[in-house]
Amino acid sequence: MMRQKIGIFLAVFLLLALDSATTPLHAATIQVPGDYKTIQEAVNNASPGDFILVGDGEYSENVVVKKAVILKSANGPAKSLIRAAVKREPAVILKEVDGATVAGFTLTGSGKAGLFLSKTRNSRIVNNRADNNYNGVTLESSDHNILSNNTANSNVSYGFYLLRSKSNRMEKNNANSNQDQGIFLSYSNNNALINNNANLNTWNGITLWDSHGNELRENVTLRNAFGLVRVDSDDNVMDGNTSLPNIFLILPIVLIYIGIISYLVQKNALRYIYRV
Amino acid sequence: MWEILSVFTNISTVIASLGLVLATSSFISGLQLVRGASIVERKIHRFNGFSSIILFVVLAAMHFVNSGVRFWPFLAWLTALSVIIIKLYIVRKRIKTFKYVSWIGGSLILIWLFLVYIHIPV
Repeated sequence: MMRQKIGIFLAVFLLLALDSATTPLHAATIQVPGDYKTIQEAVNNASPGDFILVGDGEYSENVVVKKAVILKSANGPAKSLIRAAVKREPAVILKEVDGATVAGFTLTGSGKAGLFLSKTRNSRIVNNRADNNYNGVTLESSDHNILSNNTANSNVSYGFYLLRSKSNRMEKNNANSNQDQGIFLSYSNNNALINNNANLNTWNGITLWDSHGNELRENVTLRNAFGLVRVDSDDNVMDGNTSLPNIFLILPIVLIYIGIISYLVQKNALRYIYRV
Repeated sequence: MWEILSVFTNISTVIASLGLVLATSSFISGLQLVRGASIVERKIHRFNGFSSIILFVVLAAMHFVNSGVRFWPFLAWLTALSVIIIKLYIVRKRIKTFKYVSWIGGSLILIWLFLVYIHIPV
């Protein structure tokens, strides 16, 4: 009898265990400012995999993310702005995270970076605007991340700065009008830069500095001091990139030249007509 | 070369570029006119000059339609228009400052260079 009870108990236990193992855990959706007033509070109380939906407004914070949450704005970067409360810290930092997402924010006012990824892997950075910071987006020792459709304009130093970061994919990002360089890879290997724009930066559009095995395809660098620059960088694949550093000088010269030719053509035509 | 041509997919760039071409032709013929009257030079000067003024007005109108009327841009457009009007006034009235008219013509070229520069798409 006792053995039967133990057997039934074990069978029920095993069934429950099997059931909990096969049923997926449902990620919670946390709303800011509905559930929590600040983004940081929401992140602190979230579990990995939770979805944090941030409503419209300006948030003065330095958000630190240390778990794999999905941080997303409700209505895109035009409506949700995170301004660095402490200027020397990033507006948002992902620290040693595997598999987080940051999407749809304007990140500004930081003396370090709008968005900083430190030792972060497999994360997605999508549709953010990191303008008017020291660096727009910085990746430090961060690998296998995806950065797509982000904008990093008018920053004091670099738009996108990859330091000792490898195997990241940067696609359809814009890095314009930065006071130093658009996209700067330093000691960063095997990254893919596809279809990015780096225009009107004070120095280089895209720079590879001691970075090897990167793939650069279909990038556009216009009106920078220098377009694509490689320093001590080998085995990089460059295909279909467009660099035209001096279009703002070339075009007016060409137009004035056409103007002179136009004058000469008109003059000769009218001379022929008026027989003078 | 294609990259230079591809900037002309923007209509305001096309208008600004055409304006600079016409202003250049007008400026050269204007310099020739200062030396001595010639029907050919006068026709080139007037046709290109007035065409460039029309393009200037179209460009200004496009700017205000697209970006709204703001103080500093409005002041800039008004200043450029003032230079054009002053130039026309000096040429028509032949007042004492006529000897400086080529300088004003030169400043019109600079205005068009600036217009081209700000209309090159990024």
